[in-house]
Amino acid sequence: MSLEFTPKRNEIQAEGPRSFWRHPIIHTLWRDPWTLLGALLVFTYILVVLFAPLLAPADPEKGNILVRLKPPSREHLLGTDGLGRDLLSRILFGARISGVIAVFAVIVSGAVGVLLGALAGYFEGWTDTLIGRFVDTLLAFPGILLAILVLAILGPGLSSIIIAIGIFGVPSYARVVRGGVLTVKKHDFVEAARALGATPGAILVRHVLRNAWAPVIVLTSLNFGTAVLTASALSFLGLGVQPPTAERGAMIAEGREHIRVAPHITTFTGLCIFLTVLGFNLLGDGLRDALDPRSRER
Amino acid sequence: MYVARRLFEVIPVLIAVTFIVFVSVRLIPGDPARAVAGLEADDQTVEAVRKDLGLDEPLLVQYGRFLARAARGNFGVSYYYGTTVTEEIVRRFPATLLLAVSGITLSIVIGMGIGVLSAINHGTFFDRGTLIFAIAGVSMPSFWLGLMFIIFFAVQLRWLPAGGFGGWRHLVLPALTLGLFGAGTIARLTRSSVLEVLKQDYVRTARSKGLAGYRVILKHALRNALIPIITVLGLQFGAFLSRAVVTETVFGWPGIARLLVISVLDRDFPLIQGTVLWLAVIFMALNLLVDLTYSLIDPRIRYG
Repeated sequence: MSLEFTPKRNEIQAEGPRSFWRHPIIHTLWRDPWTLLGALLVFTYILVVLFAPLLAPADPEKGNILVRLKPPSREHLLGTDGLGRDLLSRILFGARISGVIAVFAVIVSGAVGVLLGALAGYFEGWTDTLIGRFVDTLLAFPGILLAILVLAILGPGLSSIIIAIGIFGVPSYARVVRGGVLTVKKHDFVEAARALGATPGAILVRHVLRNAWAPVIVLTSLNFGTAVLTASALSFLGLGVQPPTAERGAMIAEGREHIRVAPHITTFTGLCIFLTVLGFNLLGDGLRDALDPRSRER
Repeated sequence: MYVARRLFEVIPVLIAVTFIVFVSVRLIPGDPARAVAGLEADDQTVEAVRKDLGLDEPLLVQYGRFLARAARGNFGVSYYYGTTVTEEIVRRFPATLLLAVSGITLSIVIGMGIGVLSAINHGTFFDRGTLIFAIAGVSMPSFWLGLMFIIFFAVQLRWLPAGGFGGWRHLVLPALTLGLFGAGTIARLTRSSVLEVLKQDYVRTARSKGLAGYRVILKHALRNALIPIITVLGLQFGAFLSRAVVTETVFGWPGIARLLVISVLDRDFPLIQGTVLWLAVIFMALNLLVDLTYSLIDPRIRYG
């Protein structure tokens, strides 16, 4: 009987670098039209976030009371709101606000969640139990309830909503990373790194997390969509970003007061939120199929 | 054994939840003693109220009193309404329960129906549409969907009222708003589960015995496909409650979820405390119920 040492990473290196176009993610983008649509929607959204001041036809804060509640026209492509402000401009700038909230909220969720999940999965034992109970406690609060509780303490505003949505997203990252770490740490290359004297921190970052990143990528894409949706819901309720800042949820709340005479405010603003979130969800779904073919159902 | 273990696991989480709610409310800016005494009250009156409410005692003592009172259903008096928090919650809870049950029922009926049809018609346009319907469902802001229903059914067609609480006509749009969100996810999961089960040997055996197609689905496939569906339903409760907060606000539905939003906007501390704790406990109870239901459907879990 002979012992064969076949470390996974050396095998991968021996095959040579993979062609960019044959990478699972790129291959899925070309193969699946829905993932491609998701990627296009996300790309469009990123362009809007970056170039809103150039794309917006008017100042989003400046209104003309004489043209309030007007339907779509040549001067105002999506119409005007209750204060005569150009709706298209406000939606474009509103996308920016949502983008900022989503990026920072996902950073907060990801940073805290990945850390907790990595520690729980790597050290197990009491660490895992304590972190598990903490995550269970956060999960005991249904969805938006936790975010509302945090906003009750911090008060409405941009930074408050980032923290509230960030905390809300921690459990999903913690659970996903814990699962990934538990699987990866059993591999031989991790044992080899330990035998070579690497510290637990170095092993976690350079070996374990590097090989457990796939579900985190998928979750991040899905969480962007969730963050945008939650931020708009909280602002709609009056708990998030406050008027006159052009946040799309708050805009829908304002539009609700004029729903009988100016339904275009609610319709177009909500449609933009829907397309944004749809893009992230379609892309996230496609990434999941690319990175874990077992989950593929299409 | 499984039931006892699950009940035992819930207790520390329940205690942690009560502690978080207790501490969170005390972190809210503002002086509750002054809120009760009134803005015009002098410092002496405010201090007397503070002593009366036990707010001058150490935090752990206050927490102990809070737990003891909460166990008896006493969450204090609402600053805004002047009635006890429990009265307000009990008055509004049936409305939320009605909306939640209607919404979940619609989700299950529509979702499982579409999911089964999709599995039977695997690979067709209908099947593809189901997956897109599922993703679109969770991508749509529920408050926007509710307002679109109001624009179409209430403003344009005038078939249904735009909001409020009354007969069955007032329930249709809110229940549909809540139900359609969950239907997509349930449809997708039902489809996957049924497809998985239809590949099994016992299903092939049932077919080869000459059993009619619909009986194969109902008697064999669906029952075994139920476990992951129940899992998702359990996970969906949190999302349902979240969406209920928004749906009740859109339609002016006088439920407990809307009461929470009002209490936060009014900074009504006892009401915030009471509604958050109630909703969290209901959510935990529902999840426990779902877990216990597993053991009825799958005997392997009972003895696990």
